Amino acid sequence: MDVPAHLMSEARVERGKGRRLNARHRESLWFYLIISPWLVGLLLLLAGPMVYSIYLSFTDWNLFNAPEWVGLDNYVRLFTRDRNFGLALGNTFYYTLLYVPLNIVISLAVAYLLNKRLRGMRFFRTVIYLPYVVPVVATTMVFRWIFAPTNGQLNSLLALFGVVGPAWLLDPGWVKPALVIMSLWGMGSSVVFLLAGMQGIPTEMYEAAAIDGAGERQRFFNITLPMLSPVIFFNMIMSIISSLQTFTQIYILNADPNTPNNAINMIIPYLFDNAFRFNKMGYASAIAWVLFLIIFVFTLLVIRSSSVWVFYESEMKK
Amino acid sequence: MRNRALLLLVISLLVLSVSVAAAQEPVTLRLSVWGGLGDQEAYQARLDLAHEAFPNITVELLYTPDDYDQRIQTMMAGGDAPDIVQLAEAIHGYSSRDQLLPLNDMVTAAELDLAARFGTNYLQYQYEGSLYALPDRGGAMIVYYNVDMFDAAGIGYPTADWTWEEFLAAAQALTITDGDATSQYGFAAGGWWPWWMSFIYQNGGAVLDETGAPVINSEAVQEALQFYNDLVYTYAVAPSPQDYADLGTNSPDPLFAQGKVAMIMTGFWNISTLRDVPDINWDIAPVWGNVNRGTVAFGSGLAITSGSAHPEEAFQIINFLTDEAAQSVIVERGEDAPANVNVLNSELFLSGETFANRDIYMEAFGESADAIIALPLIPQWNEMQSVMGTTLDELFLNAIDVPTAVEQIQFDLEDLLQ
Repeated sequence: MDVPAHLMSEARVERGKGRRLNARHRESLWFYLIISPWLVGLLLLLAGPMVYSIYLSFTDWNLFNAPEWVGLDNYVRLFTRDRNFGLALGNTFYYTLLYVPLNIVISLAVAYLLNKRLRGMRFFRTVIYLPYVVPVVATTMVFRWIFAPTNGQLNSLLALFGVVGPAWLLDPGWVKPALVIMSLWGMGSSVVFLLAGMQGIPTEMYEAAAIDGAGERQRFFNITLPMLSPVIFFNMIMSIISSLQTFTQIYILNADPNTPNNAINMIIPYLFDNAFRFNKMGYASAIAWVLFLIIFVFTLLVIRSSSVWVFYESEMKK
Repeated sequence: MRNRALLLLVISLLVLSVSVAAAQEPVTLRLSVWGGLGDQEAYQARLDLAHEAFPNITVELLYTPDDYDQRIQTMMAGGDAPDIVQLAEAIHGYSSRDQLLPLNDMVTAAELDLAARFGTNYLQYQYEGSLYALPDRGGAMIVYYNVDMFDAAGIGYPTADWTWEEFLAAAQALTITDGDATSQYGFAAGGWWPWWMSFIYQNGGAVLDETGAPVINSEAVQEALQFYNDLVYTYAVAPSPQDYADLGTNSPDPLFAQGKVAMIMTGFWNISTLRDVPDINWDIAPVWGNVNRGTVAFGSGLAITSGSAHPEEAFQIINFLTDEAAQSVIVERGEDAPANVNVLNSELFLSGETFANRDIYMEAFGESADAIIALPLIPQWNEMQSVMGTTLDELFLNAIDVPTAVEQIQFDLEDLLQ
């Protein structure tokens, strides 16, 4: 049978289409194959336990006997009777509200200075980044000496200016600011992101501004800051989450019998104690979900606010 | 007839050899302990003796210096529990969760006389009528004092008859200040529970009453905590947490070894520390009292986990380890006071020659026996310690007063135990 030429070519196109589909199919097969370690890991090691922990948070479970359903008891107790949870929550918020803004302002200032063309700048950049690489355990041990009440380096320094420093880690009123100082010492990662962001800002912008007569200040606030706002946004979310999850420092300091635990304890160490020292897995799961909601709300607020203050090059300024 | 006898003999020989083979089948157990390097070596030496006595049983030593309870709990949760575990005050957290094997039947079968071997020490390892561990190490908290400082101040050495009045007078006489700085403290303690808890019981107070209800806000407890805190902030005879930080430590023991403190309270283990310290002339004494005498027994027992595949062999081992031969190793190595009463009263222990290089008053341990506090070893012991410790930290930093502290603890304990 004769087939018209135009139909022939259509048939060829059909066949070609089938081959393309096949290739696409193969590609997606490879995709799932290659990401499967993460996909399986997510489902088995993260999503599974997460869903199970929702169930556990409504039970009384000591890890060994069968979980016993208690309904909302754990949550009710957390917010009505548990004085220590209230303290841990308060301390965590206090620390976060002090640390996050200071971290953003100081790391921005430091990154700005590190962006100057000066001799030995590589050295200074290393000095700033290095503390971030030091394990928190080591940092905490060293800062115990630095914060010693009378002979500590910090108070000796303050004494040179005639200031009598507080007992820092032993004073319930000063222990949280001391923790913030300790964390700020390790702000290297925020600085590195900001520095990279600054170096990515096109020099033409500064040149154009300079020609228009903009000073150093104006250039910083009208070019550098808006162009950096996505990085600042990222740093803010990361530091909110990490400070709400502070654990290592507290765990180490609490091992010292003289540390004022009530003034220092935070949500994750309290969760850890309940889970692994007191064997209250159900209660610990409830704490975990409360913390999850808190982090979720904070992050959502920051993301919602971002349309006001975060500027992306691709968008038009309204 | 003879054939039948021969057959019987052959059969019985066969049966015997099979049963011997069954008994001789090699078994490997695991024993978990905490402590320092010296403890690890002492346990190993005792296990070597046990292996000589039971060649078919090999016991591996699992040594966990830190976060002991967490590690054991994790192993248990993972179904990988050691057969034998060393446990102390936290034991009834385990017994209440059925994680330990009740030992009563095996004790009866082995015809072990608990009272003859351990005195009353084994009672603390009972929970709801069952015994969950054999006492292994023991020894009360005692007073260590610097003889030269007492001689210089011209006052008598501490005795069991002292009340707080005499203790305070001595501590004041022994404290030397140099302007604002204190160069020698009469006494040193802090936030560790055996210290403040023994003062509470010395004054007739208690954490829990006989029914298990918290009574930490009683008059007697408040008075005791006030006195304890006044030693630091009113009489200034003991270092505050801040002083400790400035002295570069958080424990009285190094301060005593440095000759900066005249009296401390701690356990047997400090003997071996002080043995190697030159130029300190020290001795030991039983702890004083007030309304009552009161001190804490630092002990630990050996328990068998309920998941053990070889409970019979495990019991043979803990029975052997708490018997005289293995307990003597504890003394020979100067590791601790033994729980075995015969070894505790032996010349080997009382002479102190194997662990103290000087003549010290070893009778202090025996004289403490009737002053030992019945500790509230409830299943929630760890959480109870945490609840009390967090509030007492603030008290010992002088950030809150005694009535506030005890009301907070009372509230937390009632909540915990309801």
